Amino acid sequence: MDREQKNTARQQRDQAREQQNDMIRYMKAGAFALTLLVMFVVGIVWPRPDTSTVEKRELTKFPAFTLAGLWDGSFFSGVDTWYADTYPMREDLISADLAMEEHYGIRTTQLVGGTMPNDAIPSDPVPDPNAPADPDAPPTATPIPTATPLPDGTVHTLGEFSGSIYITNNCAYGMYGFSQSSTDNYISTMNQIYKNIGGKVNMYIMNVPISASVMLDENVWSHMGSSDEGAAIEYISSKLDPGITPIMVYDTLREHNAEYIYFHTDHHWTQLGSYYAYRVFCGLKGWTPHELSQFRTTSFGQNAYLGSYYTASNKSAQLAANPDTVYAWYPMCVNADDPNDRDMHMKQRDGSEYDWRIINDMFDYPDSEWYCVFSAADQPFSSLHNPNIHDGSAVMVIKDSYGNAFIPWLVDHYEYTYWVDFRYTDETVSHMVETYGVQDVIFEAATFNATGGLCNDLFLKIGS
Amino acid sequence: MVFSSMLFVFLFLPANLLSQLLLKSPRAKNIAMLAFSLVFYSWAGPRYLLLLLGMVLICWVGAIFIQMNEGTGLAKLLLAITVGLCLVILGIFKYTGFLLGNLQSLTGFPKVIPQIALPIGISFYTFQLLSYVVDVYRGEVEAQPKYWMLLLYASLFHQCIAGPIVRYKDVNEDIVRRRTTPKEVGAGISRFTVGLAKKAVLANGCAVIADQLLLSDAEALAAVPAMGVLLGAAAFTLQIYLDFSAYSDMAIGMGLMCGFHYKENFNYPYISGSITEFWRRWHISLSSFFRDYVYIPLGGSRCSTGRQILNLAVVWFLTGMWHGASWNFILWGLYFGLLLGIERYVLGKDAQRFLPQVVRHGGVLLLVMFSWIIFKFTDMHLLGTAIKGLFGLNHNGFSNATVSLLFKNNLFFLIFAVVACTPVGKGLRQILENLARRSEALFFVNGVWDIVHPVLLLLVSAMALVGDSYNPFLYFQF
Repeated sequence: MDREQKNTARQQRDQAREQQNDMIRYMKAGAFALTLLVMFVVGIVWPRPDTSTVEKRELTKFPAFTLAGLWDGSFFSGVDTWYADTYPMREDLISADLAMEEHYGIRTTQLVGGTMPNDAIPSDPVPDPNAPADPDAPPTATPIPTATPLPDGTVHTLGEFSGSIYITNNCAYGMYGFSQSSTDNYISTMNQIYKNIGGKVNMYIMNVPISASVMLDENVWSHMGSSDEGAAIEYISSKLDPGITPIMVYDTLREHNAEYIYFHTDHHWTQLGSYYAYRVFCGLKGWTPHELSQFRTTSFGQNAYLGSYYTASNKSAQLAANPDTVYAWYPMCVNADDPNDRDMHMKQRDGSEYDWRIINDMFDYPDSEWYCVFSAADQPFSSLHNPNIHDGSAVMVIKDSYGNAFIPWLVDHYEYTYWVDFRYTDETVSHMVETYGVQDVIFEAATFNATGGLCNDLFLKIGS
Repeated sequence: MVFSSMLFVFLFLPANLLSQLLLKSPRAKNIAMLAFSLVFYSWAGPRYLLLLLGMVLICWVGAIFIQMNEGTGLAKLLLAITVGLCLVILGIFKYTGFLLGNLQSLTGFPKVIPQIALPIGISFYTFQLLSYVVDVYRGEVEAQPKYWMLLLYASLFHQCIAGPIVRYKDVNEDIVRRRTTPKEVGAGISRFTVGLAKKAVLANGCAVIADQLLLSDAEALAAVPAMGVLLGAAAFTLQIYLDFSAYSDMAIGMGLMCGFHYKENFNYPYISGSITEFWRRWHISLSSFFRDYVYIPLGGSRCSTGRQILNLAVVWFLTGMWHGASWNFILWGLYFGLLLGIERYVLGKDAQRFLPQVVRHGGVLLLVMFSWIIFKFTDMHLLGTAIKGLFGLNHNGFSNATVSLLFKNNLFFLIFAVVACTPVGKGLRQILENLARRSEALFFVNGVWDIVHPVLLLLVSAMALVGDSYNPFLYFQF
């Protein structure tokens, strides 16, 4: 083959290759145009969502048209936001984006959330334990004897964190931030409530610590800038009116931190965690607590429950790999066998009333709400009558959602148990105590909740 | 409207491309392009459109009269009037508040400083119009007889609000008659989608990290340890390049899809071995503007050393001012002027060659990173706090938990972002293309990748942009 033939062959080859390249370019332009067209059509004709289950919020509304808004650009800016925020399939796209972001780095330990208040906790002297006791005060807590030292479940992983949720080893831990002013407001309100009702009832206060304070090593949470919740609870109890009996559960929970006492993916304690709080309360009352083995048990969402931290962490893959199971224990006074047996009564926020089950199967509810199996969840008013007791004993628990898991343990000790979610009631404590003739009132709330600014106002409202 | 929004990518752009595809005559294409550009610009509020229309009118009339009086003293006077008017308008809208604020802090006068909103893109289109008028005066281009064609040049949505600063002589031909080829359309698609993903995924991701560390609250910023400020500065360094160059990529890509040819604006500036080289690679359209329209007319480097230093100071003072009406931008410009002066007059070329390459590159990166700290904080108190923090003078330790966790949580992402700032990707692509010439299998792989990657990048960008999550626009100050 001479040079001319070679050149011709090369030219033909190059020409063929160029034709192939042009074909590729047309296909590329076609694929690009088709993608744009599909997204264009979807954006125009597909139904748009108005709420986000991933972000748990209402999505942006189409802006109202005004001439002023048109002139200053706010109308078009609103259209821009609406278009992006409500784009069809947004949840799938966002979930895919979050899944991609999971691979941005080493995320065995993560930080999620904003900064917390972190005031220094005053080191006022705790009341002298040997000081003469108030003769009217309920009996002092009797420590539950422990036969053998409990295994230590403290997490020592020294990760780092600044914010409200710390994720390590596929578990999320809520962090605690102490606010001096809010805590003082809470104490002051509780003392005021005691002045109103203290002469008539026994008043108890239980501050439930958040998971990080119980489950993590002190060095870990202090390194992360979290406040010492144990010290905060001590501070609260030292400032309460001596007539109020604090139910100090912090140390007990820490002793049991090798057990499944907090969810991995949710901010609540498990019912097992609340059981140890119940035992502390029994100690205060001088009762012998029921043993776990005495109760019928069940479980929900077997390894499928992904709670509030899962959502708050933008669906952390670590948490997705470690879903929870909701274990529940039926009170002895209810019929555990009959799913149609309504053992309690509840009044909802819209005023409607239902008979319900204190341990209720929530399979029909969204996965993220399985903690609501306990005590009909967060309702303004609920009650249960124990048919096995006829002494007129009555307790009222004024609580947040942590109280839901705690209440089923109490109902076997009282003829009447009432519980009120302080966030959703308009009744005052004095009025309720008088109306229902209770002897014991337990104020239960997670410390972060009780001493939060919003709950300050709510307590003030019901305490007036 | 910004390019990195769902509305732009999946509504505005398809409609615009469709119009350019369906319309056949250049005139019809231009009318459609102008209509789209005016809608695009009006998105931030039609009131700003009036200013754009007015400035184009001034330059259109000015250029015509300059051309009519070519070579006379009157042309020079008309040039001065036209340029002066443009600069006065730019000054009023961009610098009034700044100047009066400084005057007030010195003399107490005036009592009230008028709040004048900064029209988006004013610095970009003003400089484009100035280059047009000066080029007409210099006889390098013909004055545009049609107002709307000049308006199209100034308002063309591809580059109107975030650059590059396109010179009239570079796009005049494309405006009058343009044609597209499959090769250029293909290249444009790749360039646009790469730019979009660069902005939506990489730049916005870096912004999330930077903004967690370079805080806008003085007390919180003072609590960030030295490594935090350094990580924040590094993230911001990545962000500003990825963001800014992404806008240029998108502009160049959209231009190619429609037959416009815009010059490169960035050329991997972070691989530079000197500050001089950095400015040859960074925002090329701006630095060449100042070179051609300020530095050289002032005498450039063909004058005494003292005069050269003065010219350098003027250019870099103006470069700083162009980026925003705030002292930090002026400081930022002068900082670079100083570094360039040191390179030119103190170190000299020999000294630079004497330094090992790694030291030169590392040194330039650190100096540039420091410059972005100056650039980031318009509040001088915050700037001082950040600089103190960088050197560990805020007494809060070397590092802390937040910083190391933030770093670990984003390690792979940061490595990817660093690689995206270098020509590594381009080099790999080139290698694949070379191999594809010799192997049918690799030709097939290369072809499939060429077809698929724009679609993938569009979808990844949509994932990042939907929900209107964090998506800062850095150029409001420009």
